[in-house]
Amino acid sequence: MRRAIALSLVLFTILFACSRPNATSETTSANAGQPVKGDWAVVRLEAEPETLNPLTSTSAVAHFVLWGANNSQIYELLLGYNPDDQWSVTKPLLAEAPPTISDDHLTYTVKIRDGVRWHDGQPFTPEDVLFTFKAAACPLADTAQLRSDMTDIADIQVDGHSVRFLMSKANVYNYIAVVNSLAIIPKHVFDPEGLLDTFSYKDMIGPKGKTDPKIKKFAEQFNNHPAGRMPVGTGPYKFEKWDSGRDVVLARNDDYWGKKGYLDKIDYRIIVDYTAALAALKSGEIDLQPRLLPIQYNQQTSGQAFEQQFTKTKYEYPAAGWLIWNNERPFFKDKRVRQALTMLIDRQKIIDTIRQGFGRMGASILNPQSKYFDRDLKPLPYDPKRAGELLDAAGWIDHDGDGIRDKDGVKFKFEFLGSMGSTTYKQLFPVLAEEFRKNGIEITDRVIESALLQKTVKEHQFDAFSIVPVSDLDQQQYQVFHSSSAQSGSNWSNFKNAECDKLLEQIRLEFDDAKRKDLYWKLQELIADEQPVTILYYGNEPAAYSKRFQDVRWLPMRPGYDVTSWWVPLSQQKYKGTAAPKG
Amino acid sequence: MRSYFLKRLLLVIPTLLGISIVSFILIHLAPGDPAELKVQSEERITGDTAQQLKETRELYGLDQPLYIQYFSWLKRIVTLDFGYSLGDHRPIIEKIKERLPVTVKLSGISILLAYLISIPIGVYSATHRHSIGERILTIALFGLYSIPNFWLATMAIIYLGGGDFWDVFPVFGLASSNAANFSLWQRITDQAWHLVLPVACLTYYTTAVLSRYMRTSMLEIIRQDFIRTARAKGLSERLVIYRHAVRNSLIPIITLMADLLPALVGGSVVIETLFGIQGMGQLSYQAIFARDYPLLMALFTMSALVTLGGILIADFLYVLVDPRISYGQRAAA
Repeated sequence: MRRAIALSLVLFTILFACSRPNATSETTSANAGQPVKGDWAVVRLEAEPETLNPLTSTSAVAHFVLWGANNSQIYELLLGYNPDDQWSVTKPLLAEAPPTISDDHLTYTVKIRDGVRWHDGQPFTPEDVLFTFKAAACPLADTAQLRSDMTDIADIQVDGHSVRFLMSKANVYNYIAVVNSLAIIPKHVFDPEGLLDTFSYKDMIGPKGKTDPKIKKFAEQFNNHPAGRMPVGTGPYKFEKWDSGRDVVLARNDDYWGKKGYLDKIDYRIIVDYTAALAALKSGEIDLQPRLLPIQYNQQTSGQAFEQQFTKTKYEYPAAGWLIWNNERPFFKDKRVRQALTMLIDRQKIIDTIRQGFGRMGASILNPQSKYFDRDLKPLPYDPKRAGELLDAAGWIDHDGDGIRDKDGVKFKFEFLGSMGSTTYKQLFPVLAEEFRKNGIEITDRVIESALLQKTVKEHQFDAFSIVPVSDLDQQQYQVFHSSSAQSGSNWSNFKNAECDKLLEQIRLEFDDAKRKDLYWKLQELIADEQPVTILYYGNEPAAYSKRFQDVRWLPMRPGYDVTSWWVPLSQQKYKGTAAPKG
Repeated sequence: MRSYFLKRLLLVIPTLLGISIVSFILIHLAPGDPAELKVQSEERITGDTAQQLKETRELYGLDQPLYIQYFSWLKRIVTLDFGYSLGDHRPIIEKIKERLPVTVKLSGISILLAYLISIPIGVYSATHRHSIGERILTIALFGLYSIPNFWLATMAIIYLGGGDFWDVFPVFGLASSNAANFSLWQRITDQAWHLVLPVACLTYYTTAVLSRYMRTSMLEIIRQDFIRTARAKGLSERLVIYRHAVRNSLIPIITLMADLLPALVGGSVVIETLFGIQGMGQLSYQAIFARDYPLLMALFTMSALVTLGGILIADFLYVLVDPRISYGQRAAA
């Protein structure tokens, strides 16, 4: 049986900065001094969250607003990323410390922080933690995307100030499922009648969960609970208002249990269009545009006026450009062909032209800042000549002289699938087509709606496509490259390799970090050699923000910024008191 | 006359029913489904999702046969219950209430302006044929007609919305965020200021089209005998044009009203996206991409209603502007 292991439920990524400790942080300390309170940050949000219920929302923007890059903004998770520990998930938030784990790795005991209060003044208790997991596990709640990562949790019990998680199987990723997958929500807000009180976690995942009228009633209320429009959390910023289509405003929580924020308010301005967002930045309506377009960074944000007001920066973003080959197709069955295809693509040129310099060449399927990242791995070179030899060796030779290679009567002619609305793909396709054509391979393209793309690739109804996957915290490669994941997981490339399967299975059960690293290195080397996918680049994004902010750091987790630690010197504060920004 | 309109009104019911069946089938036949989109997002790599997919399908009621889904929708809709959106589980009516006023305001102003501007332009260019002014106007209108609105809107944002050029108009939303603290007069001017660019971008195209129709129709009318008669009677040119000619040449552009009215509830995706306005256009656009079936059905039903209403209103307006048109007689005949 296939098990979906607990990978981070969120879209976030923990990366580990061990290799390059300062590579992604950058501090503006020109007129630093003691941080002071005051001022606002007006931040561009690229879409409107569908809901601010942290368990039912699936959009990245909802997560940016709800718990930001550091797992702690309106809501908080049990543990967060620890900058002093290579960004491992060990920073205590609502848990007092990392859990104690039994020797058989089946019991995780989490001690809950004392003295924390919800934004409405009610005390935070271990019951809230249990309730959060019960709500997520409820089969009638619209939280299916979370449940696929919770399948190993058999029961959860509250014991004084601790919460005990009992697992049905040992698995490395259960740690994340327990401490870093769910934002903890208040029981007294979401279930004031105590509808779930009489049910244990075990009941929720058992047959009762689907049929009991009380649970049904709870689920109905939960899915459209008003707190999804006005969240009540424990974090350093409180929800203030959500003006549909316009902005979401947060205010500093002066009763926060931990290190308090400096800015009075964070105003997330919903601006979908990039041109409008840049105009809003230039006219001072917003202070931070976290993702410029490369062309905006290079051509539309120069000049003294701009540079006096704003800082431009590049930061590593945990999303990489991949080309995925359907390994079951006759042309891609042979690894020599897949290697040849990679060697036919001038990746550096693609980074320089299409990505306008935003990206870095690489070969690993892991995020380059993961602590398991194989630094010795070299990408295959751009070498059309060698690629031609490999194709010849694999038997793909132009037998009939029509300029297209063929083998056993099959022409090397395939279709590239693109997602509608991806401008990168539109520019990428002609580059690939030209290069392949020169070397006797013909490609055509078909652009489909992204909603459809998912279904198509899941069913393997494609030859090749490009995608920019967000690579998660010590990303579970099991679901991307294990042969069993071809049917129901995310192994879109249909890659089936016994050695790879074995490595992936070992990684899930290897609790020793050093040994895990060895296994991960082996896996990266194996996949780099097999090339079931071609890595085009590691992600890199441009941003611009107002110079008045101090202690601006860029983080290796999405969304890359955490304004809860930014501050503005008194003399430069723009929004004083409660005056709202002009706009 | 009355019985004619009554008949027309009753005909709306089977028409709507037909439209709803076709839309329902089309929406559900389109590839992709909301449960799948919910469970597996493109950016996220997930594990075994078959079980979760099944549960979500059941939750959304997608596991039932299509005709049962349709009838349960129909049952709800006759009690004016639009149901819940699949995206955030909010009542659809609430979501529409949030957005409809915005779109009605924008499109309403734009349609009104388009008529107010294009009628005089049409009259002018018909009465001043071959003059320099008319030629310049014609060229300008054809120019406007050919400009795509996303381009014009983007240019407006870049050149008039602050940044490197002039900071004349706000380019974001329909009100300043501190508008709540404004006096009534400030609020009105603030709102008007925010409306300028989006309304301009929505209006110019319609204006260009309508004024051409008006011109053609006007040209036809002023060549007719009754105009000559009016002039022969010694009426002033002003009276001839404005009382006799204009009224008669309005018919074609009134017909066009039926085409423009659906925009009142439809909105414009492009303009709304560019100017950060959350109207009906964005709502439908997002609903389509999220395959939010109940929301889509609600929107389709609404625009079907308004389109049918627009046709009815146009028929009714004919009678007002042209006494020769009388449905009563035709119905009797």
